[in-house]
Amino acid sequence: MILFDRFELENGLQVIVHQDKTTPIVAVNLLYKVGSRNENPERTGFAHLFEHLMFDGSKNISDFDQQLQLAGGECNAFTNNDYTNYYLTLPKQNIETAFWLESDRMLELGITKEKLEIQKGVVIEEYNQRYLNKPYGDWMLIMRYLAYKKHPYMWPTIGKDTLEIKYASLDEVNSFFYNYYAPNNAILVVAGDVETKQIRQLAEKWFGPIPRRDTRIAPLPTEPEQKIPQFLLLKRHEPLNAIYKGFHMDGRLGSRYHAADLISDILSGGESSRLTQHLVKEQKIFTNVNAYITGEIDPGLFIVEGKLSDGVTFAQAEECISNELKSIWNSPISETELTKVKNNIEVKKTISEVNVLNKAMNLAYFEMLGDANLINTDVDNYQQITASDISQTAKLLFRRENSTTIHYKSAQKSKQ
Amino acid sequence: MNNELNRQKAPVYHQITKIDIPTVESGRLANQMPYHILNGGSQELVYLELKFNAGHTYAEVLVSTFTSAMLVGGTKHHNAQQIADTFEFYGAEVRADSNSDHAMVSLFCMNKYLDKLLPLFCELIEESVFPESELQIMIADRKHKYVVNHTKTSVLASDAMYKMVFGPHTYGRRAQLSDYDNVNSDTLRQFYAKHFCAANGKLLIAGYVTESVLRSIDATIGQLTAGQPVAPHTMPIEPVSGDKTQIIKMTDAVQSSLRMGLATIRMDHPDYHKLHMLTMVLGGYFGSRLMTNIRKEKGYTYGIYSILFPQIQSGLLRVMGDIKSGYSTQVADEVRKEMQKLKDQPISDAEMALVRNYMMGEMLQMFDGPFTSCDAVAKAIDMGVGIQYFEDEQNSILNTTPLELQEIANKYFDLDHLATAIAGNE
Repeated sequence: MILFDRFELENGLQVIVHQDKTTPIVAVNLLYKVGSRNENPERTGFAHLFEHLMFDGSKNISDFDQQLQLAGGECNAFTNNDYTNYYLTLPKQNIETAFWLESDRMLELGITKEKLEIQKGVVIEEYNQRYLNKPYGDWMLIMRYLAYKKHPYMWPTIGKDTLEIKYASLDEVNSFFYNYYAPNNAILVVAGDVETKQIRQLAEKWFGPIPRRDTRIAPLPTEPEQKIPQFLLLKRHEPLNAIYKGFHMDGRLGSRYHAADLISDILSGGESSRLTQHLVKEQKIFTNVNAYITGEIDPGLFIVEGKLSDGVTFAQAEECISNELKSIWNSPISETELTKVKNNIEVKKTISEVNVLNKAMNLAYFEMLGDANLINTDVDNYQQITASDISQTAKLLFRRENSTTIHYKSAQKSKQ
Repeated sequence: MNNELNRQKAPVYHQITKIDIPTVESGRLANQMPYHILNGGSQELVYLELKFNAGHTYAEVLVSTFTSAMLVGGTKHHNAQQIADTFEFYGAEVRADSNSDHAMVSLFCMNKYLDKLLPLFCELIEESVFPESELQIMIADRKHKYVVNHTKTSVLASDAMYKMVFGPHTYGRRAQLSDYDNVNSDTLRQFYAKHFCAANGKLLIAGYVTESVLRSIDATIGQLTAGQPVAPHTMPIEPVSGDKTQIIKMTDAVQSSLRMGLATIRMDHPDYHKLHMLTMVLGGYFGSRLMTNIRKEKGYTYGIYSILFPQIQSGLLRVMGDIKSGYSTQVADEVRKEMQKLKDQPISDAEMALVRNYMMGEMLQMFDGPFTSCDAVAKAIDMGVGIQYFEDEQNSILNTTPLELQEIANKYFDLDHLATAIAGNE
């Protein structure tokens, strides 16, 4: 059980404090409720570019990292489709440094044109490193484009392509900042050997003076139900044939989210899972196969992907996947199999409670979903799933018309 | 009371001058296998890591890799599926892996399931049978991974760098695709029988380690056959001779991988702590010379780092970054320039304070619980320096001067023998 206190500053900043007296480290996590789903469709990749700029100096502090390092701290951040999360850890004696640093960059940035140009270069190299300069690196970019017609999940957090990042202007940076990086659009979590009273004082001292901002956050379009299966064949110089499939599923708070998550574990959680045992070990259709969920707040995707064994055709591989997916709803899963995936949920929860940073991140995430106490209770949503929930969810999920498929067909490079 | 907040002024921060290094309790199991306990944490989780002197150095190419990986492939009493079913039913994680010096197999589970899992864990270590069918599946998978990996600039550049730095030494050896077809289960069985025994191994136990945990371990792992210790195959490491730069042309690549390497001192050398600090200054953290120059000022990379990598027979100073196409030769020159600068001028007191505080903070964070520190502690034990290493490291961080670092740079930044490999469209 993770205990915490919760309060809100007058400017709307939500603050959560979790006390853990066992550690010399304090974690400070600041979540802004803006992700790539909030982007202008012509400036995709902007939220993530912006995250980089947040480390490039603020109104009164020219070098964020250096000041933190002097206090013995470390930091990082990530952006996804739904939110942007900044986190740092430092010795508990130096907690005020974290408040000083984080509040100054919420107050006002110190971005110049030159800094913006350099960060665009860094982000483009990140794009290249993560998505383009490796085989199959762009599959998720293509999958999103095919699977979504309306919802902004149609583009990846890194952006549709590097060109849109190149066009980002300083004015756009500023208006994005004032619209989204507001105290009333953020959640601050502090976890460690701290007292709520002390954190309240620090929060009021450093964040209190930042004015509430008039944020305008456009409602997001709802993705219409997919009626026709989507398919794309890519002939590439990739070394092996590969299949990527995506099925639309419930969002994080949807009633079938947890069952879908457990289905992905049944199919592919470890060596004993069905896809590995049946399709890799017994039938040797794939050398490697995986299933997982994207786990976003709005309706996301259930992914099945695999690399085909030499000599296996796409038709054979598709049929085998289809049979495995069907068997989840055709024949009820055994009590043992269900217990196994639930045991794994219990272990994951225990592991997630080992360190303060993890706890701070999870508290912020669940508070964004609506209630930080989900950190304690969400696990019950898994424990209550029955075999019949699993089969009903699978039946809805794995309909052919609900699927998007990409085949990477390996075309041999001509010898040079 | 003045309520005007001065945001220009940093709050007072406290220097960390003392870190509580955890004690490691060491002893021997009934069969004389040495164990080391890193106790702590409030969650009832326990991690066991058995390590054998059975890394790549001890055999022909791929033998150690497949012997370790196949430990979960079947025993006298359980097939691969039963093994996976049992561990995964309890949410336990078993990993079997190997590196140049060691083969290891680990178990991570909740305390309450440990007794249910230990007997099977022991079977993996003593009664594996290496079934041919499982081996063939694994070979097919590894060959596919090999083919995919060898289209990556990062893998090609790294392989080339290792070969240049370590030459004929097994540390520089890399498997060819055809080597996978020569792996056979008889060789693995022989290697297993000789190397995976108590006298040739050691055990690290981390987490919520109670007396009953240790008793359970002694009743199972402590009963494994003693066997004989095996000495590593040692070979001198010659400085890189001949061509020290290699460019692997990949016309399709949208980015180039730069990997640089220099064989250097081992972890038990008295200068190691200072060299570690110097490597940190060069490229070990976000505010390092390399990150400032190449990422922050030029935007040519998402990240460029230098690290000191310890191995039993030789340390390795490694620089790595994925670089904007067309710029990696220039970046390699910048790396050399930055190293030269550290030889020419002592770093400023301000930078010294920065790296000192950062390293103390990093170490404090590392010792936040048994699971964050067990890799580093295991490494210190493997390299023969033990937990004392961290006390010495702390003293070194606090007391090393800029002039001493400059001296170390001149002693160890041997630019004449620094190997450079670049893979990409250069």
